[in-house]
Amino acid sequence: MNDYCVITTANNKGGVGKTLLSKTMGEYASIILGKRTLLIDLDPQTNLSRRFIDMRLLSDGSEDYAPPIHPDWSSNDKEWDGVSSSADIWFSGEAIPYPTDIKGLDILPAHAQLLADVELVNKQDVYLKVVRRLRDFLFLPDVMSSYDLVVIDTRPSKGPLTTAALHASTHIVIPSEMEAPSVEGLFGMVALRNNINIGRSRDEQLKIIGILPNKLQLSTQVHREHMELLTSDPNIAPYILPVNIGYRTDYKKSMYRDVGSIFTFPPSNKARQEIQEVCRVIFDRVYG
Amino acid sequence: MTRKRFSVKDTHLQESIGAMLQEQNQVGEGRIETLPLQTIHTAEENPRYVGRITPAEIRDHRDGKIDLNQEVGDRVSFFESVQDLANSIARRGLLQPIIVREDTDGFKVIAGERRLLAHILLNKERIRAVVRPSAPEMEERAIRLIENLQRENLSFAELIRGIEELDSIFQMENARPMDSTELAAELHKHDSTCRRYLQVMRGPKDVRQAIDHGLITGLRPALALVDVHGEDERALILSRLKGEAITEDGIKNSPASISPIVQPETRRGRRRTKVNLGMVKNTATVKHLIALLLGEDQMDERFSSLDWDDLDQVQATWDTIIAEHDRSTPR
Ligand SMILES: Nc1ncnc2c1ncn2[C@@H]1O[C@H](COP(=O)(O)OP(=O)(O)OP(=O)(O)O)[C@@H](O)[C@H]1O
Ligand SMILES: [Mg+2]
Repeated sequence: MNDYCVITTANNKGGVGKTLLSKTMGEYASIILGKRTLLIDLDPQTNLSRRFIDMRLLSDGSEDYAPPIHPDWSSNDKEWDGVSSSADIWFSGEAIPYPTDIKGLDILPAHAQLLADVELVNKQDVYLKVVRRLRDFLFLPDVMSSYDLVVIDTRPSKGPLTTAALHASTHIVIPSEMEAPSVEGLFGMVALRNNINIGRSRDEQLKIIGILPNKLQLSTQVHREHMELLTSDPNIAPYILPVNIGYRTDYKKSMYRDVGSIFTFPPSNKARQEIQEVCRVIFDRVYG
Repeated sequence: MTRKRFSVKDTHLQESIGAMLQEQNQVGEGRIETLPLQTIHTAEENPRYVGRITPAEIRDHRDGKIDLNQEVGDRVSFFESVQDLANSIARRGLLQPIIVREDTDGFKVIAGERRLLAHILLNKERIRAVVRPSAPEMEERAIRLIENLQRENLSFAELIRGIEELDSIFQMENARPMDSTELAAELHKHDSTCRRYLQVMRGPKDVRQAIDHGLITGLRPALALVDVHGEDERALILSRLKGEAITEDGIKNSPASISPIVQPETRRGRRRTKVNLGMVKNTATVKHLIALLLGEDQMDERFSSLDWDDLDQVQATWDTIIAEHDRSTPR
């Protein structure tokens, strides 16, 4: 059975936990489910990449990050300059994922400046030049046979890169805070997904895995109110996942490069238990 | 393990995106042109001109006339970095045009010396460049801006934004950031004040945002926040002080003041009072105090899902409890 999936984490509101969730899903899939997983960082902030590999700060004063020399590169290799990034999908057309410390988990890191350049493409060219390209890449027979699953982390915008990710995906998952701006963005996300599906056949529909409430504190009135608002909206309610993520410092800790995966925390750790359950529900929906 | 190498060449995309970007004018100030290399000269007085290697020397290097073994470390690594850049340009094309300004004898490089040198190394004839408006035009803009900045009724946010724009004009002219003496000369203010303005203007992004959103309306609180190290710490302070104008004292007291606090706030003429139970270092003390105040039952109900290390959240929860009490307790 070919259950190759491409999951995109999206929400055009910033700081809602897209990167945290992308990271954790990638780790869950590789560590717990034993799936060969590829993470793709499409955010010029390179946040996800920096969790897994030692990104290099460009020395041009821009404070932008770029991937380091690939561990498999040797100076005899004249065909390749030793660096690969997700932007290469568009530029050189050749992408070489980096291994992470986790078995079965690779990452195609972001290159801040090159990705930013991809976003500059003219409006009328976006679909042909940016959007289709990612889909072509992700559905290359080579990619599909090398990985069981691809997880894409996006930037908080509806620009060409995020659009490309959504068009190339089989599933999306939407983390959201229960506060006004993120909640308002949800309606737009659902509408965008419906638009994408117009162009797809019945069995290729882009599925919303769900909306994942993050940093949720039901003792806070605003959070309660927004939850109520969403659960009473017929367009949104069906998508709200039956699990959520609370606000915990351990999630922040799990984002430090040297701390590593939350799945190496003790099984009794509350944050680990909570997010492991979230991942279980998410992957049940994907593979179930 | 064999390297995974995936290629999408030749599927849909005929021309590379890099080439496509060349045709676009997404470059802000100025127009894009493809200039002959010999019309461009480098600004040798530019302090960012690392290694101080001239176009002539690169030409010699290209023609094999320079023995790198005879060179000192700094210069060797500079030659190498130009070579690296040249390789990348040969492969992907020039992604970012260099920036030049028209002057009396051609064009002067404002940004992109290395890229220019890499082109020389590659023996190219032309380079893509953004041509910036000539000096008099910029001067005119700067004068207008300075007049504006000297207005009395400028908000702090407007002031900082204005200084930033002035600095960017200055950088286009001089290829280096403005210093406080230069700013002081333009604004007729004290050098030390100007140094602080620049410190805030070039400070962390989140502080700039808080200024832009009107959360911080003065130099002193802005500086106090710039002094707080760590984005998370600053975010915590900002969120704790949400909704009220931020003061220097508020910031300085904030990171340590983990005891239950109700922020002072006037509401319909009835003044709220801050209740501060003192300073603690140990979170367990906070937990203990709250347990004493609330009783175990209430404590379980309100704080069970809480991470006690996260004082931000503890504070938020405590604030709601106090507010509820305040509302329901008869005066
Ligand atoms: N449940 C949580 N508890 C505590 N901290 C969290 C939680 N979720 C996310 N964070 C923290 O909030 C910040 C933003 O999270 P993250 O980077 O995952 O969001 P994002 O949506 O990817 O942001 P951006 O839009 O900038 O890419 C990070 O510092 C992260 O560690
Ligand atoms: Mg992110």
